[in-house]
Amino acid sequence: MKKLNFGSIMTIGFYTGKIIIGIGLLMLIPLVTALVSLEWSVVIDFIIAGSLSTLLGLVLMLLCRKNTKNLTWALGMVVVSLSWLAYMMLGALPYMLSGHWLSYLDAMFDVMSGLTTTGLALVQDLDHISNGINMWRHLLSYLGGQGLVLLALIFISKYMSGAFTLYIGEAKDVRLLPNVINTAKAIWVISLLYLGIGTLVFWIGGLIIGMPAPRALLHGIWVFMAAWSTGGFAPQSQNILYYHSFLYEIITVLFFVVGSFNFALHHAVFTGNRKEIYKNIELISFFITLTLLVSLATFELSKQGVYPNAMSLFRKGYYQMVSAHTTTGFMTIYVRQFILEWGNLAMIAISLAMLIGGSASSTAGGFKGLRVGIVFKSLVNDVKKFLLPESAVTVERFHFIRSQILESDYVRSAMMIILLYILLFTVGAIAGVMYGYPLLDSIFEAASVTGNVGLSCGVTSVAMPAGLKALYIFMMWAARLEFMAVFILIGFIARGVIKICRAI
Amino acid sequence: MRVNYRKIYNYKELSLGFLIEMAFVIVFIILAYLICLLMY
Repeated sequence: MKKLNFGSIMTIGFYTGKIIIGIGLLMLIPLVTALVSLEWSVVIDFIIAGSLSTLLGLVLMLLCRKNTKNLTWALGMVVVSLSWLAYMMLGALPYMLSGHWLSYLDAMFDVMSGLTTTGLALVQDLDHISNGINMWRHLLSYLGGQGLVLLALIFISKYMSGAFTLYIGEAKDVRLLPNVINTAKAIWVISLLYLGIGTLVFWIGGLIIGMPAPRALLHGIWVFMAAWSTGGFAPQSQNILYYHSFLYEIITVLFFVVGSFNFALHHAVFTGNRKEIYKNIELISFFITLTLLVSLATFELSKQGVYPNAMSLFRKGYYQMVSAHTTTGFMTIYVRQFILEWGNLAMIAISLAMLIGGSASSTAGGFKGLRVGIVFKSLVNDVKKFLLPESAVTVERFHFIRSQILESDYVRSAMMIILLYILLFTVGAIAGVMYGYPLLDSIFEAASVTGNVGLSCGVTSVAMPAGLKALYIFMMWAARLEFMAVFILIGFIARGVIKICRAI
Repeated sequence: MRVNYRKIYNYKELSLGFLIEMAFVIVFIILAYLICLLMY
């Protein structure tokens, strides 16, 4: 950002306004759900919230339409960060109007948790919530997984330049097709295809376990949305434990593991490049770390004698581990069981799994398997250099869609992101301890928030201090956008403040 | 540039791709169960 001026602010306002209009239009989906379910008060809530959001977006656009410039790299990043904050504030309106959230901060916490596909919740009496609000919760999670701005790009792209900046700002960097707008569309084609298939499979699963057809369908849509987006929300307070069904649990595993794959991998497999699935560095890295960490956790759980047989070890131990590693956050145990039953080694294993996370450019969080793979390959290369004669030149390669040379820039970038994640996690853990929570609880919850996972050991609750809620909101947001867009927004605001101070 | 998504994602490749992704995950679920059996 070479020059911070009036034009820059107008440009940011104009594009943010355009994206804000989107949230007003999206509220039509839960509005229709509420209409079909004859939930009249919820219909009114969504009419109010939707109108306000659309109006605000329109006003911003109209006020800022003059003096707009092309969207530069830095301005695009600011638009992305601001849009996420605006979605959090406006998306919380229907929550507050429903009366199921005790404060606006709690409502914003749940919206950010949904958008970032974290899945931690502060909602009151979830088991008796309306269908309209449940649709909104899961829709936010589904949209956040694909990327909010990514969706907006499809509709507003005709009128704007700098689309690639917005795309990168949401921590997605793969190009499935040469044009970024077509890439955004391709990502949505893949997601909607899976939405159709996944809903059908969950619906059949629901019918098999004895749910009435309409309820099975709604639960199917919602649980699929939460699984595919690695979100972790569920329509019932007991999460996936509510269903008490091995079949339902396996279906969720199938879809949240696939949901944690890179969109470039889906695109490759769906366009005939099927070998990619066993060559891809990210998948290899993911399954190596998953196997190691599952082995560690199940070893500890067996030693402690927590579960009576191998099947319950699989349904309770493996399920939470794979849910943690894909950053989904679905649970088949009660929250306090982690602390009371799991033991230190299993807790370390699951915290590590949450921090590593799924694939880059996917719906998953964490610092991603791709970066772990790149850092590991770089380490191997360094060891090789020491073992070979000094004159030898080593070139390390990795396979990601195509065979690529491991350049020092990739390693530096991967190391930087991993370091930032660890820093954020440390801040969260220290804050938890400072607020009086035990060390293990604080570490577990900080890992869950940093990795956008959503598993909880009981720290996240309505009774949690407001400061910790605000910190967790920031952590979810920064981790989801992989820091850069957030740092640029902070820099932008700081420069503005300095400029004003100098003028005074 | 207008892109024909039906051409990019044709039904045969899509179905095969979906089955391969599912099969891949199922293999790892079975492996995980074997780990649980081994550890128990």
